[in-house]
Amino acid sequence: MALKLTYIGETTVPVEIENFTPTWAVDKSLDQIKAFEIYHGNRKLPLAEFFDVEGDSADHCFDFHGDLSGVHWIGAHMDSGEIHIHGNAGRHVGSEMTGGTIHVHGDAGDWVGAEMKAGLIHVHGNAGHLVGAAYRGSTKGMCGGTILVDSNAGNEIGLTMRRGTIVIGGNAGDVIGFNMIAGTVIVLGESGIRHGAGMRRGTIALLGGNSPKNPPPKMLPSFKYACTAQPQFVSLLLREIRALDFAIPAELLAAQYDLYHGDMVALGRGEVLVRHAA
Amino acid sequence: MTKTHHDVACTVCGCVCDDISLEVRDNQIVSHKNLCTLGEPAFLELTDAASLVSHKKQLPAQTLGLEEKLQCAAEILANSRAPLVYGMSRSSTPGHRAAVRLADKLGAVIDTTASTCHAASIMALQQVGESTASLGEVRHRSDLVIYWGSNPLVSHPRHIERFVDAPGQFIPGGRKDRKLIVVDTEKTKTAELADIFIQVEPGGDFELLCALRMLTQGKPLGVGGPIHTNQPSTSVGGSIGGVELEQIEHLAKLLRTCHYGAVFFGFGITHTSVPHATIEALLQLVTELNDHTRFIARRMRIPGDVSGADSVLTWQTGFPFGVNLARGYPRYNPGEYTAGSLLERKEVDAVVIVGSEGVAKLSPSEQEYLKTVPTIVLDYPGRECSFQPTVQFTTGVYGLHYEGTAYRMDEVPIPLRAVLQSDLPSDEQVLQGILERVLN
Repeated sequence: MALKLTYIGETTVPVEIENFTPTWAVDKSLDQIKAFEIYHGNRKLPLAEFFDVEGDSADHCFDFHGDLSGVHWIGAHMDSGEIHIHGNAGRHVGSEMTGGTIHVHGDAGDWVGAEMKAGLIHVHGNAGHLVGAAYRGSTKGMCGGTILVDSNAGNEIGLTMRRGTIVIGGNAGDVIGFNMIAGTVIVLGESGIRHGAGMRRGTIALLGGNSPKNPPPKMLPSFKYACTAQPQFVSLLLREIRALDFAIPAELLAAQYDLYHGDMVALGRGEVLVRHAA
Repeated sequence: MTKTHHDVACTVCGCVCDDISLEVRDNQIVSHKNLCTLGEPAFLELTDAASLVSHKKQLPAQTLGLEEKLQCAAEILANSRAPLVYGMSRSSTPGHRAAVRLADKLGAVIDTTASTCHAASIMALQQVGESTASLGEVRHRSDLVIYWGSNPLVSHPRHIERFVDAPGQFIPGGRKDRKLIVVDTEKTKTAELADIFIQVEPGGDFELLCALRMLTQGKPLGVGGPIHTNQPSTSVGGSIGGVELEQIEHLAKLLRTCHYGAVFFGFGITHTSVPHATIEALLQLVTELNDHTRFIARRMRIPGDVSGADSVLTWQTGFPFGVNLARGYPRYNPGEYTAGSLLERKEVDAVVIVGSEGVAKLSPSEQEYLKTVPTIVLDYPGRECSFQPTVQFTTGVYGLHYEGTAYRMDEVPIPLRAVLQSDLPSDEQVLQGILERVLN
């Protein structure tokens, strides 16, 4: 049985529940959990001020209910267990997590899975900017794990990411994989501009349509066209993602892709795959 | 009795010209020398307004006495769970320090007007560093000056006169010994003075910088594949970012072969999606040019002491703007803890504004939200706030009524002197007064 947390707060001032993880709660009584200190702006308050708490935490599982778009850092630093958010979530969902699974059955704010090291985050709606990114001033973003976003996401996805996989089912914003060190970003829909700028290694796959009406994003002058091919790893990777309950159109498994190498102003060992024109 | 003050500093723009002469009689400026087209009206307006402030029609927020206002402000802030301290670019180091002290005790977010202008360039330099120099070094050594996305004849009227036209130790001929290049989206007044004007298409700066970096590194520009044509993938008719390839190659050669190059970049370069990426590319280009010659980059900071506000915040909290002190330690995240974002998302419940001119840079919805929360505004005499604050203080002007320090755009501190008498309290006195009442 999961620990059920129903949000009862009515405030626009940010509520932050950093470090409230299934591992912390697993051996705590309901009273101890209710007394967990969270931040409401500059005040420290007990969790029970903003959440109705019931159930049992022994299963390493949290069920959040309500509109939590003003509640931030949900699942940040978690290392095991499961969190289900039945509604929208705020910023920094799963930030720096090292294990476990988070499902957001709604939209999530910016910085989903920022600097995460392992685990799975599945956002069943939209995500904001900087999915899997490095925090400002940090040298590395996401270093492992998987982030799946069923719908759209914003700018700077995978900023300075080092390892791991990010998949966006809908459209994405600008500068995907900016300063990327390694890792994989896949976008199934349309995307903005300047992808892979400054990337050293890693793979960015832009699998949206390629037609005169729906042209792919322009590549930067520091990328070089290599070939048009049907890399086997793409279909293997897509099948693996499909196994995580993520919708992958069958046509992508057999599609051809134009391969570009870059960013030549950086190390230049990255690759951008663009769906080949039909 | 008339007294002449020499070497007075002007803080209207980031040049902080400190060669102004003011003649003062009966606590009024009667004549001046070396004030530019921006400085002259600002100085005279502030002087006139300061003398008239006691006779002016008082707004409801101004009718309370100083002590009552301080008490009222303290009560608002003591009850606030998410206060914001914003502005400060028109204050001075003592005012900035007091603002940080207040924000620290309140557990507030503190942000400067940098977040609405040069935030992107600060984020970029934090990521990739900056090869830089003082303006004096540029004047004495640079034989190539580039203004990129900046129109200093309008925004910094004496910048060209002082640092490009003026002769330097190793540039004895001044302007005639320097090459001046302007890169902008339209032909500005400054562009008309330039030896070379490069018109980049709006939003095309990044691609142009990318091409320049490739050429600087001695690499050929990328060639596109089968997407549309066999032309270079970002080129349309042999151009990148709207600039002919031939012109880009010529520019790259000029950059590599000068003796000392300086690029001054302005707000124009930030008018694009993810602007810090563009500035990172510019700063990296400058760093790479140092493999060939000496090259530096400088931001054209606009409001007077915004550099000072950033410097004080950095030495007190570790971060230059957008600092959240709610947890008792500083956290920094542009876009999350910056004033515009907080107001847009309605995440603050009280606001201290040091200098309401920064409000104009906020979006209409952000300005609208300011009308719905308690606001404490510190303004210079004669300044009309665009909304009705809950508590309003009129404070004396640093560099006119109070001594202080302003930081020039190259972060060189310039002392400010008091040349006029005033009964008005300073920003520091007001903010310290509020803090003392919050603590009590």
